[in-house]
Amino acid sequence: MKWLVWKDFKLSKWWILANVMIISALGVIGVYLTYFRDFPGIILVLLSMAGVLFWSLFSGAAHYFNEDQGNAREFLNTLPVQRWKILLSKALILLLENFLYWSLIVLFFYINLLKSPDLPPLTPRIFLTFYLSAILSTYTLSVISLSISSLTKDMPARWFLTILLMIAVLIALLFIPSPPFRVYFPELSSDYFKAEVDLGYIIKNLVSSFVFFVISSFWVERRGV
Amino acid sequence: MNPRRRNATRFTAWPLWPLGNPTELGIIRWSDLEYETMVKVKKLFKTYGGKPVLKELDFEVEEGERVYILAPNGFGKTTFLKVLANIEPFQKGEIEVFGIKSPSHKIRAMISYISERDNLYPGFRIIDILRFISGFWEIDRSKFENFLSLLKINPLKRYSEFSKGERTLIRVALGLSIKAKLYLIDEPLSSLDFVLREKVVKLLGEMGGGTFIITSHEIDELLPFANRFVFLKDGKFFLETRDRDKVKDIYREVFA
Repeated sequence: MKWLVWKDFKLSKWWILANVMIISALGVIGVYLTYFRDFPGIILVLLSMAGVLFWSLFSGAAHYFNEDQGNAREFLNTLPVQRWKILLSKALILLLENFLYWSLIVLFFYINLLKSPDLPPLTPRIFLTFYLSAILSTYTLSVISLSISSLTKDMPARWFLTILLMIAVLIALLFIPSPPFRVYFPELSSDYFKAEVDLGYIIKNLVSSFVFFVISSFWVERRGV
Repeated sequence: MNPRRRNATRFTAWPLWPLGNPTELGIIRWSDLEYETMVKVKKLFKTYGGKPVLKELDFEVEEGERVYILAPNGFGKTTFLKVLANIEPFQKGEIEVFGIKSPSHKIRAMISYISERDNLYPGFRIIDILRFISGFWEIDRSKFENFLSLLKINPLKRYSEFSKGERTLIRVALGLSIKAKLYLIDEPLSSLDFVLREKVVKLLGEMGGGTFIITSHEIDELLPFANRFVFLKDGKFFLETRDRDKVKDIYREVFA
């Protein structure tokens, strides 16, 4: 397992570095605009948030890209490990990526907010809830994308299937009740706006991505990655 | 020139990186294996894109045999090796390797499959690939060092920096350096000029014992290496011989 993670990190380090550079550049420009040009630079941070959301849709496919280019999937299939471990090592790298990107976004978001003293204080409870919700939400998408990508080598088919399944999952989840786990923030709420995060819904999403992971693990065990 | 690069073919000049400890091998100990026949295939049926490639194929290999599979292109030689190596699934039949039913990752721990295709990571250095492989199989380090100096290959260069022929040599060298019980070698001489072909044959000659299943169109070069020749036609092994002198005549007769 250690060597699979080592290999996946080695394969994707430049990709991760490029993403970190993009998010950092947007964040730094945003901070500069906020502090020195009186322009709402937070827009750029919000842009990178949207970027990470979009990235998570295709991240699984991206992690297979190098292996598709060099026919290395065949080599992966010869390894004497249960094949779900190959998927798991990629999922771990995706988790690391999610942590890294959201940490950067949260950092720049916070620096931007410091310019607005009239906003309520950012308590650890608010910070942790939003941070974890963001990570888990995009990680769900990443894992679904990874699971789909392990089933087919055809890149357009992967993207199409990922988006199609994502929509199907979101619709299906509407009919499944979420665990009652809502976090309410009175300090951020007003008479017209109730600030709360439905962690139950996020957990439900995560469970659905785990189901996808298990199904694709069975598939790759029999058919190969 | 960087002195590290200049001396790179010498093992001592490599970075002091430890190779992996193949903990995955702990899943099975060779001494624990109990089997009478190393490879036993019964009524194997495999389709490719809806078209049957292997039909009710029966096959057995004993320990120490060097089996040469002969057939023209498209007759299912590669598919058969891939099924044995657990890379491709099969529809019907039974495969037992080392007494373990296929598919199983335990079987893969004892097989070294050398592909005809360029299936290694292009961006990795040779030493990185070796490190990665050593996390899963036990590597005969001195043998690999010997192969590299024989082939004059710099292990600090990236895999993609080598020519197509050299990449084939590297794959063969890596595959043969794995301490496996069974070596499956698919077309090791294809697209190589005669100098490189001689090198591959030399590498194979360096292997002392071991069980091999090999496919190739270059009969002349590999004839001395094998001790059993089987002919694949219509998805079955329908004929075999141990007489090297008859191989070409049989091939002509059957496939002409």
